[in-house]
Amino acid sequence: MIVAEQKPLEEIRRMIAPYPKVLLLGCGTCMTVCGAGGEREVSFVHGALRVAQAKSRNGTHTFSEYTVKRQCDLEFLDPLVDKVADIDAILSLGCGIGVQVAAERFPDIPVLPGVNTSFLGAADEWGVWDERCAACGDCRLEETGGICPITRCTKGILNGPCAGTKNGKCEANKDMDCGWVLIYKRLERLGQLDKMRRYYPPRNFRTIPRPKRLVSKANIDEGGGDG
Amino acid sequence: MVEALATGKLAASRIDDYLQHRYPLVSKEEKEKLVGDLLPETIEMIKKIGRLEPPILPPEARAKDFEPVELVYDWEIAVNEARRCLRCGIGAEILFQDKCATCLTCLRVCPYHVPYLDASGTAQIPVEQCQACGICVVECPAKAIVLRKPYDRRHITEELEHIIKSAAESKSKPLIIAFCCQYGLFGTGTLASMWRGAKGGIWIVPVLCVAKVETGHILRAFEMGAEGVFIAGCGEQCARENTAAWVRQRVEKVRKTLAQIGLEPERLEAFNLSAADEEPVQALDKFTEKIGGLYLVSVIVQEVKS
Repeated sequence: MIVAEQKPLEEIRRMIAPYPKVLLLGCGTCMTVCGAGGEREVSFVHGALRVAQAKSRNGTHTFSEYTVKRQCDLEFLDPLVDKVADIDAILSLGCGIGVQVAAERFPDIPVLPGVNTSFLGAADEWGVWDERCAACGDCRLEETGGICPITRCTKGILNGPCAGTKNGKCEANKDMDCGWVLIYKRLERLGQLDKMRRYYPPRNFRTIPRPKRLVSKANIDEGGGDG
Repeated sequence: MVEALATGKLAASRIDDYLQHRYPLVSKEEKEKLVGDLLPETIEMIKKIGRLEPPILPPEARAKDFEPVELVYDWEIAVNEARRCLRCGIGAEILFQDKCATCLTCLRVCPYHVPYLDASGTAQIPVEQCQACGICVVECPAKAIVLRKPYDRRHITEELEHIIKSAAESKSKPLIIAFCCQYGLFGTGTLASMWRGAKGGIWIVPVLCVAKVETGHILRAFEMGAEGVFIAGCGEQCARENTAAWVRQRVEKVRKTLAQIGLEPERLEAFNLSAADEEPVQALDKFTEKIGGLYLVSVIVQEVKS
């Protein structure tokens, strides 16, 4: 899931300053799950902006709020058409994808990002998130016991551990597990330690050029008939 | 208790059957269990609060007349006895399943381990298990969970709006809004005189458990002109688990936001006042004084600016 954190309120206030009527747009999927931009957070930011306006005594913004099920699909934004008719800007609490899809759906309205999209991760416990995937497009989890060396190792090396590992922790952060020690332990448990002895060639950096596009549907020639 | 009532009703209808020379209806005997049993992990987390016996007349006094021997509870005992409420059927429900992102927040925050994922991967909160603490209601990031009773849902918001209105009419400055546990000292003990009225500029929003106070309520209080806000729980007497920690979580979040707005974070405070505490009044006086000072400063700054 995509994990993000809310931008500081100062930054949000600076962004919305030129726009009198602002719609706060939440997202009901990843941003709700990671607590950065669901309906609860939309109303929290709304409340905080109103307090800021009341206390500074010079604000003239009017705010409205709405949360869609998923901001990264144009169709979910359709019900907003009436609501944005007289809106000067949208403050999107969706991830970077949501912001861009909203901008595409409403090309005449500035769409401002309310969160910093951080990483792809999972919850460790309530309110704690850990990065788990770098979306590198070249998955090696089969070889590494289901533990990703790209994200769990600070250096992201494919042939680890390096000399910086100590007591199972990483030299970069004493509280952080060494990804490669985790991989070793897991492979040991699976009886696949021979995988540690293999040399892994460099990653396929050809998958990195951006923007990536993924086509999962078959390429069928439309004029082709039933052949 | 619920089953005892049901059995009593059954007995009454049996007696009625007998007196009216009817044969009892068989179906009544095959009643299914009314309430599911609580999970062991839920029972473990529920605080056991003993019964408080009402005071009784001493034998010398009893001998003289036919007055009832058991006296009524006084206010404090009555309130404390009310802590033992089983909260049947007033708990939380996922009212908006379409909004629910199945983020599992409710599973993770529930002190009683009540919410669960069913086989289809949908989060469920069984009504008979829920202890109605309200923590998941406040923490649900999708606002999909509500308390079952409409009055409980609106209670804090309505009380807050009422207070804001009354305070605006009184024009007493500086305005301090306090969310106070009705079971705590504001309901019973030394601070009960502050109940529903301003004393020293403090306006009380009575809440049934401070864990139900949302960050939105706090922000609303500041928006409507509060110079200071505090939340006062009932301390160690609390019938719930960990409510003070949840209050602190929310207070910290709002404090961070206040700082970004340019307001002093000290304007928001969480107190945990229990009867054993000797200085609840002093702690509040200190807070009131501090807010008074901050208010004066802001007035002066305002005048200097203009």
